[in-house]
Amino acid sequence: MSDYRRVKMVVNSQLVEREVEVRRLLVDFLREDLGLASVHIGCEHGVCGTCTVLLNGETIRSCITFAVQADGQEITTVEALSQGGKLHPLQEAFWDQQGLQCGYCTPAMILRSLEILRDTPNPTRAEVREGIAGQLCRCTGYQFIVDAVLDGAQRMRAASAVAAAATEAPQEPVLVGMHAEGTPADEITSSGHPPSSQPPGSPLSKTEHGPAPDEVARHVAEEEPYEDEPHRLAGEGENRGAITQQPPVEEEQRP
Amino acid sequence: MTQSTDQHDGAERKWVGKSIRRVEDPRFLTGRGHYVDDISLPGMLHAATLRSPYAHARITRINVEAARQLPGVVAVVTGAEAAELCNPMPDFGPAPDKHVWRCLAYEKVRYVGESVVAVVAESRYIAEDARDLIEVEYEPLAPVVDPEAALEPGAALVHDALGSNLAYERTFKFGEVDRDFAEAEVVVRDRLRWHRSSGQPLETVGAVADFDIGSGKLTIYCNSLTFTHFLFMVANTLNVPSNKLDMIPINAGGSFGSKFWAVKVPVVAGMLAKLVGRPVKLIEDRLDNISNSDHHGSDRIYEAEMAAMRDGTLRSLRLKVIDDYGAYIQFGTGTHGNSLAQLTGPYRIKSAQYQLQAALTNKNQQGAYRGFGSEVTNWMVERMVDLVARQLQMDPVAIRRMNFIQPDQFPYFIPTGNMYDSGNYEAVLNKAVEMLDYDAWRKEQERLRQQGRYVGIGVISAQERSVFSATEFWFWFDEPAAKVTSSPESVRLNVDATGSVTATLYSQAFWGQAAETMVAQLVAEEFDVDPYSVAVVYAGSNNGLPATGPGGSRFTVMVAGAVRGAAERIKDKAFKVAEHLLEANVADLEWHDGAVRVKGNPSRSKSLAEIALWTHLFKHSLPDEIESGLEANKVYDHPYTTMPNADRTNLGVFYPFVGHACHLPVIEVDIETGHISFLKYVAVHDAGTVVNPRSLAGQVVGGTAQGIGTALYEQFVYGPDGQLLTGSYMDYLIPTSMEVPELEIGHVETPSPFTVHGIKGGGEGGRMMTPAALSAAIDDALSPFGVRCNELPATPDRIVQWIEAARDKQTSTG
Repeated sequence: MSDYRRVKMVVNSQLVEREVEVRRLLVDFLREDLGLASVHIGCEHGVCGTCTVLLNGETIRSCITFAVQADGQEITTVEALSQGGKLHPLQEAFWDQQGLQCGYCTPAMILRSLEILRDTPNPTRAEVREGIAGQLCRCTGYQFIVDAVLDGAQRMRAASAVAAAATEAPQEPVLVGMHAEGTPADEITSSGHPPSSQPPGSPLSKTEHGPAPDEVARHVAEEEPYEDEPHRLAGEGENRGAITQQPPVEEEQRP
Repeated sequence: MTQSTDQHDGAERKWVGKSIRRVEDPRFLTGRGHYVDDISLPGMLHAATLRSPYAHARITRINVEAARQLPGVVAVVTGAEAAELCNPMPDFGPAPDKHVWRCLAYEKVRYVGESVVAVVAESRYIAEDARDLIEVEYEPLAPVVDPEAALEPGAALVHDALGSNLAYERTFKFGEVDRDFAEAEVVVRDRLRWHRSSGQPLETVGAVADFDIGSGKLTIYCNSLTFTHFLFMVANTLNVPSNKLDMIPINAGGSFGSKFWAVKVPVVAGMLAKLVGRPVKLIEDRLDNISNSDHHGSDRIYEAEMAAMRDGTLRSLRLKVIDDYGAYIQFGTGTHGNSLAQLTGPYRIKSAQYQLQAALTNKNQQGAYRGFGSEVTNWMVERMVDLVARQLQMDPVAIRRMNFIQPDQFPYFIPTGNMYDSGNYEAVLNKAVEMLDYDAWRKEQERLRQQGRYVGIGVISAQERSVFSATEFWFWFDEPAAKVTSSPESVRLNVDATGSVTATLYSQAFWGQAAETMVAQLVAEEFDVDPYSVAVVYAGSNNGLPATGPGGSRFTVMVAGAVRGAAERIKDKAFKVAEHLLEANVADLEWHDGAVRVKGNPSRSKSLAEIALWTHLFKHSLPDEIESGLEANKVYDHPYTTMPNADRTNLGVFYPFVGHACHLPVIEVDIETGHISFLKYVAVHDAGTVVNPRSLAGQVVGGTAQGIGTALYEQFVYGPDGQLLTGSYMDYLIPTSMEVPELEIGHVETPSPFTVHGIKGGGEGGRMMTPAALSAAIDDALSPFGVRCNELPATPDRIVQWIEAARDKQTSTG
C-alpha cells in the first residue's frame, strides 16, 4: 500500500517538491509535511468546509483531495495573506467585527470570502450568506462573519482604488496582501505573486525553502505537462485562477 | 445588526463595557492558532482506536497479531491490557463501582463507537491500517435502547453489577405541592420529549502525551483542562503520582461544553506514551467525536403538570423526568442540578416536585452541552406556561408579565432553595416587545393568515443561571462520599520592571469565548493600562493554582474576582512603595489613572511602571520589609454558596447569578414541506454588567444558532438495534448560514450585587432560550390546526406529521 509519487506544486508562492504516498490527503500534506497550521480538519468527509484551501484560486476541500491531485497546481492558504507582519484588509475586518470566536473555521472562512469577493466585490448580505453556506461555523451564528465580509469588501475596494490610482493602471490586479491604508506601487505585480524583493524576515524570502518567488512560475511552467491535462498555473493564461489578485475596480460601486 | 443597551449601573469604568476587538484574534486570523493537533514533538507517534460496531456485546476474542506485525506499528493495546495499565476512569456518578467506566472497553462493549483497542504507530495512516487488521469476535447481547423500556423489569442490563438500568432515582418536593395542585383551578399536563444532540465543535478532542522515564513525569497537552483540584483522579487512572502529571492547556477550537472535563482521550494518550516511552498524539476523528464522545447532551422524557388559577396565576409544577444517560454516568446527575437551579423560571411559582430517573442504555454517555441540562428545563417550563395560556386563551406576553418575580423581590429564593441575585424581567420583556413591535406583528400575522400563510410569533422569557458551586454534584445523595465545597478560579498577575502586566490562567479558559480579552479588559480596568499591553498566558496543572475552568457560564465572573483580588494585593504593595517614594502616609494616597498619587496634589505621583522599577531593581533603597518583585496570586472562591438542608427540601444556594432573556422569533411554516423560515428574530438578554458587548452579542447569536440546530435539525438517532444512524454531517445537520437568521439583539444590564463589576455569566443564554422560543412560534403558526410542539427537534418530517395528525383529529371530531 506504500505507493509513492513525486509531486511538485506551488504553495503560497513557494515551489514545493516532495515524495508523497499516493493516498496521502492534501490536508495532511499541507499540515504535516509543509507545516501550514492554518489548514484545519473538521468533519473529514467534505461537508463542513473547515479544511478549505485554494487550488488555482478556487476553493476546494483538502480533506477529500489527495496530495497527488494537487501536483502541478497552485495552492494558497491563509499563511499567504498577512505579509510583512500586516493583516490583510479582510483579516482586519474579521478582527474589527468579531467575525470569529474559536478561530478554527476562520482560515477557511476567509479564503471562501476572498473567493466570493473576487467574483462579487460589492455583495449584498444575502449574497454573502449564500456564499458562505458551504462553510460551517459552530461559534458565531454567522452574523458577524457576514458583517466582516461586507466590511472587508469595502476595505478591499478602497485598497484597489488606491492602488489603481497609484499605478494609473486600473486593470492591473493587486496583491490582496496589501493593507487598507494604501499600497506602495512597487508591491504590485501582474502575476499575483509577491514581489521578489521580500522584506527581511518574510517567510517568502527564505531561500532555503526554494527559489525566489518570481522564478517559481517559470520553473514550474517549464515542467513537462501532464499527459491527460495541460499544466496550468495561476496567473497564466486565463485570469480566473489567482485569488491572490483582486479583480479590477468596478467603475460603478453599488451603494 | 441592531444592538442597543439599557445601562442601569452608574459606575464609571474605563475598559469594562467596551467592545474592543479581541486580544486573541490575530493568531487565529493568521492561522497560527496553536491548537492541539498543531503540536509536534520529536519522535512523536500517532494513535487511533478501534471502535465497537455493536451497541451491546461480549468480547470473546481479540487477535491483534497481524496489526502488531505491520511495519511502523509500535504497540497495540487491548481493553484487557489497558485494564492492567490503567485504573477505571474518574467517575463522579452514584456508585461508580457498579457501572465502571474504562478508557478502553473491557469484556463488554456498551455502545456503538466505544473504543476497544488502541494502536500506536509511526503515522496515523499506519495506525489506521493496523486497526483494520485487528480481529475481534463479539457475542452480541440484547441492546438496551429505549430509556423507558430500559427501566422495565426483565430488561437486559447495561452493567450487570448494578442489577438494573436505573442509575439513580429520587423525588424532591419543594414547598406545598399537593396543596397548590388541590387548590388549582387549572391543571395542564403534557409529555415532552427532548432528543439528544451535542456541541460538535469543529475541532475534536485531542491530546499529545509525553512521558519522561527519567523523572517519571507525564506531560499531557490537551484542549480540556478544568477542575485542576480533581486531577489527582486522572493521575490515579494513569498510575502516576499526582505531582508527576502535568496537563498543559491548549486553545480549543470550540467546546460548547464538550471539552468540559474531557479526559478519556488524554488518558488513552497518556497510557500509550507511558507504555512506549515516546510522545503519542491522539486526536479524535469526527466519527469518534460523534459516536465516542465524553459529552452527548441531555436526552429527556418529561411527564409534566402545571397548576394555575383561572386568572393566569401560576402555582406549582410537578414533574417526572427520565433521562437517558447512555452507557456511563460520569457526572452523575449534575445536569439536573442545573435544572433545579432555575426550575420555576422567572415566575413566582411557589412549589415544585421533581422526580428523576437516570436510565442507563447502550448509547454514548452524556455530559455537557451549553446549558448543561437547564436549557431543557427552560424549554419544559415555557412549554407548560404556554399550555396554561392556551387553555385560558391568554396572550403569551400577558401571562408572563403577570407572573414575573418583581425587581423589588430580589434576592429571590425559588422553591428549590437556589437564589436569583437580581433581575428586571419586565424591562427585558418590554424592550423585546418594543424592538419587535409586537402589536404590529400580531396584526401582520392576522393579515398574512388571511392570505393562507402560517406565520407564528414565539414569546418566551427564561433564565440563564451562571456560576455553579460544588454542592450541585452531591446534594443528590443523603450520604455523599465527599461534601465538596470548592469551585475556585485563580489568576497570577506579574508586573515586570517596566510596569508591563502578565496574567497567568490555570485552566483551559479559551474555548472561543474571548477569555483572554475578558482578562485583558479586567486587568486594564484595575491598572488603567491598555488591554492590548496585557499578556495572557496559561500555566500547566503541575505548577498551577486551583482552577475550575469555563462551564456553566462561570469564567468571566470568577476570573473577574481573581483579577480584582490579585490587583488589590499588587496595589497594596505599590502603596507601600509609594508611601516611601512620595514620603507620604498611605492614608493620604490614592490610585488614579495608573499611578499612586498624593490626594489633592496630583503632581506628586508615582506611576505603576516607576513603582515596578523600584521593586524589581532597587530593593535596598526601599524599607526592609518590602521584598523584590511585584506580583500576586489570587485564588477566588465561589462568592455565594449555602449548604443544602438534611432532608433536601431545600438545596441551598448553588447557582446564584441569574441572567434573563426574552426571545421573540417570527417564523413562517410551509405546511406542505414542514420548512421553517424566519421573518424576524429579536433577542434581549440581561447578563448583568457586560464586559465586552460585541463579544456577548456574539455569544448570543452563536448560542441562538446552536439552539436553532437543537430545535429544528440536530439529533443523534439510534436505531432499534442501537446502531447510530447519524454518524456524519450528512445526517447530523448543523445549521449553515442559510438556516440562521439575522438577530436583532438588545441588552439590559441589571448588575449582580454579589460579583465584581456586577457581571453575570452570559455564554449559554442563546441556546437556553431558542428551543423554547421556536417551539412557541411553531405552535402559534400552526394554531389553526391546534398543533402542539412537544418533541424536539421539530424536523420538517415531524412538523408535517403533526399537521396531518391534527387534521385527522379535526376531521374525525368535525
